[in-house]
Amino acid sequence: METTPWKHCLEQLEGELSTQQFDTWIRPLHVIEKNGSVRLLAPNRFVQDWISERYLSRIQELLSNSHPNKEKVLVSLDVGSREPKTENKVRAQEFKSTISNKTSTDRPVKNSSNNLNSSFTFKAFVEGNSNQLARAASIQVSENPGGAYNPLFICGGVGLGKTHLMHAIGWQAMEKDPSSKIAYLHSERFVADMVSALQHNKINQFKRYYRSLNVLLIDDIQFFAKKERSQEEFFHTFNALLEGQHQIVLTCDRYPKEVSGLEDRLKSRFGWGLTVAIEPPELETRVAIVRKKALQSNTSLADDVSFFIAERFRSNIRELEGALNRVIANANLTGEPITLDFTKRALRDLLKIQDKQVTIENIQKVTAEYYKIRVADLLSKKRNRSITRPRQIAMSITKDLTNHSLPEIGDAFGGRDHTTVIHAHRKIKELRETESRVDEDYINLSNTLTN
Amino acid sequence: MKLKYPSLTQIPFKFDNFKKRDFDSFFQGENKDLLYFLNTMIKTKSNNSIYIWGPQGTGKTHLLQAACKKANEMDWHVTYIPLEQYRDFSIDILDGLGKLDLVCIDDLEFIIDNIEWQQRVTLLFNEIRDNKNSIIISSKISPNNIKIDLDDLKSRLVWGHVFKIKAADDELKIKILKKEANERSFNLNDDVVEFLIRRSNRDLTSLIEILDEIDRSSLAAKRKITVPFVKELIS
Repeated sequence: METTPWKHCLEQLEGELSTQQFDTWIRPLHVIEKNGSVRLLAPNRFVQDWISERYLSRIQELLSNSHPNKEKVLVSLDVGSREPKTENKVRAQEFKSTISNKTSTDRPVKNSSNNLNSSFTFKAFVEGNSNQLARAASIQVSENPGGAYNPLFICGGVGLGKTHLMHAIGWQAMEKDPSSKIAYLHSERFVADMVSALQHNKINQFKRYYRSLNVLLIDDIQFFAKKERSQEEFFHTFNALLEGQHQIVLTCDRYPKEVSGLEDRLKSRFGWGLTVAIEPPELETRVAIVRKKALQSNTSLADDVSFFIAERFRSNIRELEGALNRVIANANLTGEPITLDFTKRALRDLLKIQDKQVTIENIQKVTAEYYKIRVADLLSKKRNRSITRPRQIAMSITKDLTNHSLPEIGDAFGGRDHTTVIHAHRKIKELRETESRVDEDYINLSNTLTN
Repeated sequence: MKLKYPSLTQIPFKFDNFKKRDFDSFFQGENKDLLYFLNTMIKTKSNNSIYIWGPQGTGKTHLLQAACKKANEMDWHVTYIPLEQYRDFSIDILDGLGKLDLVCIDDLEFIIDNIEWQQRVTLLFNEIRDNKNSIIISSKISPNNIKIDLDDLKSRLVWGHVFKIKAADDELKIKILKKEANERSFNLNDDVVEFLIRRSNRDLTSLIEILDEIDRSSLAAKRKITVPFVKELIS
């Protein structure tokens, strides 16, 4: 690879800074080298300030040193990302979420003008009892924006499909009327854009933009809580849109009345249209979701596999997706077919995801219960076999499952010497190979403790 | 750990902070699938969210920093945010990071009491997903048990891939300690390294801290690294 002054500078810096400093501050920089000058782009103001205070003069020095004639290299430092020009243009023209204005050309994501995610359509939405009403209302709204249900307020727990429905409304409305102005954004983005508009004296532009929309989709409005100035501005935007019969769709993790830190007049306005709830999906819907998601990854699943996943992961769809991802990734890694047995193995970690600390006390208690003896016996000086064997197993498990040192383990078992622990560990290891009973006990106990 | 020999007045060079970590120098032990997954994700420039959890000293930070290094080699723009250090900073430090190709967040458990940070990380999650970029999060606690009050964030943690990182067994720890000692230009004899594994808290981060202390103290005291010396040091 060709070495440029910047690459040379990087090598030096990597040696001078700690790994952490280098990874946090230097690696995220986007660098444009042109005609002997170097332009550095930091992802945000914070990083920009940090670099300019701590590293910029050194960077300048290193760059100049690497110059063939030791000439001073012009270094500038701004906030930005790849192809910042396009983005500035977008931001200057319109106040819209910059969340998804990814300008990198190699990975086009979505229609850049409305932030809609192309995979969230009605077609891709799995219907079930738990979301039937919300889906029907969403379809209605998308067919007739600004009509019957305004605002449409979708509430429900996390990962149940609120955002999906919102995007689907956007797509459908756009299909009906390609000229309509639609924007999807997270409520935090509304707040951030407003703050930046205030800072740059562009609040009128901000107002004009939002009030010109045909469909405004705002996600997770619980994030508006306690932000009075934003609520005020949103209140006016809201009224203006409603008066002009433009559609508003809002989502929230609870009913409007239950959001604390939200002005009463907003709460009551939110209730003017239709409020629909999404409940966690029931088993059949979860099975259908697993199948659909699998198909999207070009994987077909046997019935017992999709049922198994749907049965075990019930709280929300993200969890379900995570589990499925894991199964597919493992299958890709090992090349094995996805059978029920394979699925169980792949999800072993996720299923016993509890990481409750295994403590010595717990090990002693569980072992004593298992062998129907008392914890006091384990710690006593008794040396009959019905006591020593459980004691050795407990010590051995403690060594394997905890990070305690051997003297600590010895101490915790009635003040025994650490050599006793070593002996117990060795003994149990031997016995597990020769006596299946011991092996079984050991496995049962470890499973009880870690599950 | 009580230190027998007070630190030298000279500011010690903290070896570990400057060590460049990569995937090759990670002893994978039972973490073959995790390593393979990370490597493939970065090599193929695919996007994902990954949550890695496991106790202290299992190599989480090593893997995150290795991912940064590898990603950078692939011309990705990345950053590394250890929350233990940065949670006291302004949340503005996370602005715009959703546009980077990869964000690595270390020690998520440090924001369990901080709703403001939790909200900001949730938003970062959305930005990363919307931009089809990647995030790797590490924590000592599993995504189901971590006390994150904000459900929006909690549910996002299990969205992509969750890996439990498995600790090295004693045999592997001995191998790692010997290598670490070599990198610090000294040798650990078998009896010393076995003594360390038996006698001290046995997670690797603690063991490596002890190694640093052995390094410093043996130089300061001009003594050979023997079992009695180490015993004196950590007793």
